Amino acid sequence: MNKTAFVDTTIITNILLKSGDIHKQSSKALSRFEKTFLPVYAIKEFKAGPLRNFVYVHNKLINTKSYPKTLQAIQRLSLTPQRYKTATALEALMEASKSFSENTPSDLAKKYGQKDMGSILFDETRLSLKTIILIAWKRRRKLTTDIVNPLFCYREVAPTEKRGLILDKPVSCSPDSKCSIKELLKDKLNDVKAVRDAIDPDSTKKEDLNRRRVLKSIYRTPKRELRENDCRYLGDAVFSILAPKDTIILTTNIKDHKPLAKALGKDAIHPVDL
Amino acid sequence: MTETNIIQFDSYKTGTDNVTQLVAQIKDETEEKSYETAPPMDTASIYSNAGAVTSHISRALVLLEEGKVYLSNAIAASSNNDEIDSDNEVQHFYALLPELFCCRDIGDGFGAIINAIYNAITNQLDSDILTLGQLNKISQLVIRLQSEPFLEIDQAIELIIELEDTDLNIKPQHLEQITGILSGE
Repeated sequence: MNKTAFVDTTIITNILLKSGDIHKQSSKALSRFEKTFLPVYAIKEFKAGPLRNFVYVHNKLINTKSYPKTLQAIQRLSLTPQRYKTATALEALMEASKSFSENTPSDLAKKYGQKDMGSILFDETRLSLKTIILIAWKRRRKLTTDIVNPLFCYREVAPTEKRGLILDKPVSCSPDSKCSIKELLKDKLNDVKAVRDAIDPDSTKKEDLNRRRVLKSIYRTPKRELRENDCRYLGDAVFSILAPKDTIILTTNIKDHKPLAKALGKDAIHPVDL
Repeated sequence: MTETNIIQFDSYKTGTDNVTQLVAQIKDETEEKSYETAPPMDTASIYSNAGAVTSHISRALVLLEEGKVYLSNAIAASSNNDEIDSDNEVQHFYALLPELFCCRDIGDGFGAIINAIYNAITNQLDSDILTLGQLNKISQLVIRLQSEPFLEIDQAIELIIELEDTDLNIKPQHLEQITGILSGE
């Protein structure tokens, strides 16, 4: 058994929100380590990212009561630039061969006052999304052996319901509090510079540009406060810098993590490679 | 003019004063009445006035009772290593879940649990039969719904987590691609 894993947001996303092989792979990966560390930054990223998408779609579905309109909303958000993915997803949803709506005789549905089979599928989907969201939040701190690097500027508030919609605020840090990430990084300015230098300077990816800018700002002007967006742009760099030397960073985003980890003499590994 | 009882302190200490005795007598009578037992009420009779609560509650309770019997049989068969009989009973239980879901206007807690159980069994159907532990957990959820059909969503979520912990997948197959997109695949 490997010693300690420093767990990235992609792993908890796979376990909490996905099913099938992807879910199993990540769960199994965690069990291969004696100890697993999850920084609170990963929980923050999870809530502001994948979980927020689920909440958005749940609420969109409630208000539009229409699958095509809900999926159009997903497309507009550019959650996937690959439109074929959304089209396939819509097909799968409409097919829903093993759902309640496909397995409830229409006369039975009418007997219970269901307007049409669509209302059954609607409620199935709505309840499933709500269940996934609420369970994900409850389980977030129970996946790993340890929760590390607390963020005192960030309040972990459970999603609640109001008028049938899910409220997921806050997803950002408290503006009145001192930035905890800044405090964590200020004693590691050499590491901050090394990680910044490891990001391809010729990359035109928005994510890389923003990350380089924020990392530069931290080591050049360590007393300057970080804004909420800056905290988010740090992303993968946070894991590389905060991961203790004797840990391995567990992530599915190997392409971005590996060079950053390598710059600090650390390593990143994908669950399939364990 | 108000009459006041004057109690000798020594009598009070020994409990032989009139007031203390009177208080004790009243206390005994009250306790006797509060311990009178009424015949236990079953859930169905509490909700017998279905029209006032929901038109579906009484039917849901009947279905849950039927479901409980199937599960009980499945558990017994599983305990005797009779997998075929156990799975057969599960099929009967599974067949009444769509009608139970039709009663979901009882509340989101109710609907979420039925939905989760349905998805759990659906996802398991393709690969394996339910284990004894899984059957016991589903049975516990059904019994809980019988006694608390209006349970809140938060309570339902805790129960669904317990169901997941028996290694059952409660996520519906038709949402797999959507959840993949939303998770940033």
